[in-house]
Amino acid sequence: MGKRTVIPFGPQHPVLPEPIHLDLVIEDEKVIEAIPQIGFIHRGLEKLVETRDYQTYVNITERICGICSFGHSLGFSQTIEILMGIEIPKRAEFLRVIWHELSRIHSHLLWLGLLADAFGYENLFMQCWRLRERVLNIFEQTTGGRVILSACNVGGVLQDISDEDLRGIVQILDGLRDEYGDLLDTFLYDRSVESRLGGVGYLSKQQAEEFAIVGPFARASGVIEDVRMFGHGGYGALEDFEPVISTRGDGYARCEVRALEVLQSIDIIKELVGKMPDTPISVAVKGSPEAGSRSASRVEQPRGECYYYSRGNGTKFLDRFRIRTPTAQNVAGMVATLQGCDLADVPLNVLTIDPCISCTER
Amino acid sequence: MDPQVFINVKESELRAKVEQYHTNGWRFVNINGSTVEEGVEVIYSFSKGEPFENLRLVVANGTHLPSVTDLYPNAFFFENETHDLFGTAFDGISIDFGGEFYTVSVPTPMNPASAQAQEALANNTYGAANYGDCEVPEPAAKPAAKADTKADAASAKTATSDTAETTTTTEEA
Amino acid sequence: MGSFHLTKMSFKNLFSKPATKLYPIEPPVYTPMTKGRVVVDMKECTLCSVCEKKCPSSAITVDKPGETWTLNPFACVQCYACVRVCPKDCLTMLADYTPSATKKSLVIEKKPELTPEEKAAKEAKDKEKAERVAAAMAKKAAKDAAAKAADDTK
Repeated sequence: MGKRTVIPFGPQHPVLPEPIHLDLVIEDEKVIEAIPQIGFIHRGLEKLVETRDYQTYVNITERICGICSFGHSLGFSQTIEILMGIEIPKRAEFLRVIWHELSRIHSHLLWLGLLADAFGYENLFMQCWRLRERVLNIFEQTTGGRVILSACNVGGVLQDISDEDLRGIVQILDGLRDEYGDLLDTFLYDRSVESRLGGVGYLSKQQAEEFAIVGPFARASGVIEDVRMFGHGGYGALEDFEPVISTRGDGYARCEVRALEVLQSIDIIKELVGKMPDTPISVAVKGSPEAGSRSASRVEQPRGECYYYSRGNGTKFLDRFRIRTPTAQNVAGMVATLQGCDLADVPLNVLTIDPCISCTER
Repeated sequence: MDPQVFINVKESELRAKVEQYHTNGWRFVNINGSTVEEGVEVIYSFSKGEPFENLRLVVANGTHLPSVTDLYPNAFFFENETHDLFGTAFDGISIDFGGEFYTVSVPTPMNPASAQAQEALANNTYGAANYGDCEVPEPAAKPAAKADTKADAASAKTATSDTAETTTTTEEA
Repeated sequence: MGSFHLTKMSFKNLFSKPATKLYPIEPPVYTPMTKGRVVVDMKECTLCSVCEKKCPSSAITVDKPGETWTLNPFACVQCYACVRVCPKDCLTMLADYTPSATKKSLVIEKKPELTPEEKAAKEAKDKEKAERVAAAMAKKAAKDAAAKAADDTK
């Protein structure tokens, strides 16, 4: 038995988008055990619900994370609408799904760029982010903000997108799909990418179910789990929705799932733009949640299933609002992939779960 | 819309119910705490595809609940978090941070009535200035003798009034 | 399988103009909806302080006796809530950003002085309102007296 050393990984590391700390117990370049630690970016945002009324709190949920910003405001609005029994117009549901799918495209392109940077292919990283700029320009044209959209509130959405603008968005996305074809070929078929990612961080389907992981991380190991399948909100208008599944279970599969989900999101947006109804975009919301009422809902964010729980107490301030992000669920799965891997594969394994630690630690 | 199913359970039945979900293949979703008058309300959530159920139990402050990390390994994250923010301890967590998961400056910030917070208040160690090695600044020194300063002020006033009178007289003149 | 999938794209990029912009030498292109900074039209503002209540980061302070509207541009998060909720539509969101500064400062706007014509118009309006109120009060007093007289005779 060789000598064991403990090497600290993070919280500052070039490959990490957000700070997380791992203590890696190593024996001769192989990781035996990894002990995670978080808490570097805990801002106590769940406590702010006591001093900001439920309409203003949307602005705070948006700012939990920069990448999944619209997803959190969507989940919050959805949860409060269930709590207060509000039904929103159809056009608002469709617009929310369009913005959310655009958010998924930009998040996956960001992640693909970071992955390319992690294994050293900087040209690919820059091309992915160049395509991502087009999605951010769409956000700026339709809502005024590139990263924090401020487009969703309890009762619907705050801005409308005209039908002409929607056709313009579809055109931009078609142009994006053509250029994205080259990048997709590189990620899926390039020899250097395959040899770097193949077999790294393998997780079998049984382990995936045991660790209860969610999102593309789970779908890459063959677990068929996607909240969009249940057809809540605007997703109910889709004709059929099949999640992208892979059974390889390693880093290459996770890359493949996310790369193909970009194409799937473009298709979803095109389908919904074709079916867009003509109704108002929001309903006026008056009053406060009843005392003792509670609600829970789930949203499929780019990183996985996100769970929201809220409880009202009769005033305009909520009693409790809880956000359980997908990365919180995936931390245990990440630690499992790290056991037995090489030291040089640790940054790649941490990145393949798409960690969004600032969401996790609100 | 997700099905809204909230089942009230008692502390003694919790472990049996969680084991039942585990044998039936339900996926673990969440544990979260929230403050109520009687103590802490802990909610466990499980799902299997679209069906989605939440177990709700209310425990008094200072209770110890059994951990479920042997059945669901990723519950360690949520149990540590609930312990740090609300004060409900869990026995037998697989990776137990002992209250240091989130380095918060006040103990159990979301539940001021918990045992840890009450103890810190009693020992006068509650509050950001008393956590860690921060220096608490000394209060400003009180003025030495108030009478002196008052006399000084009075003399200064008479002096200025003298000068004012002289100035006015000169102006008039 | 293979390599060099990016050849076509790299070749094209070699001969087209750069994807980046030489900011700040080239001015940025904003859209009509871009959220930058908030400005107020003090002539229309009635100092009702609804914007102060709705601001999530408490960046606006309204002082009714002092007739000032103060904005802390470094606390503003450009959420558009104040513009949306103003009853007189006197707030606008401009597209350019608050310029960088070496220290934080407040933007204090005071209600402008009324011109003589406006002052006269305001005085005339107030006088007319006072006359109307007095007439209504007199009418009410007369009605009460008549009712009281009727009661006495009964």
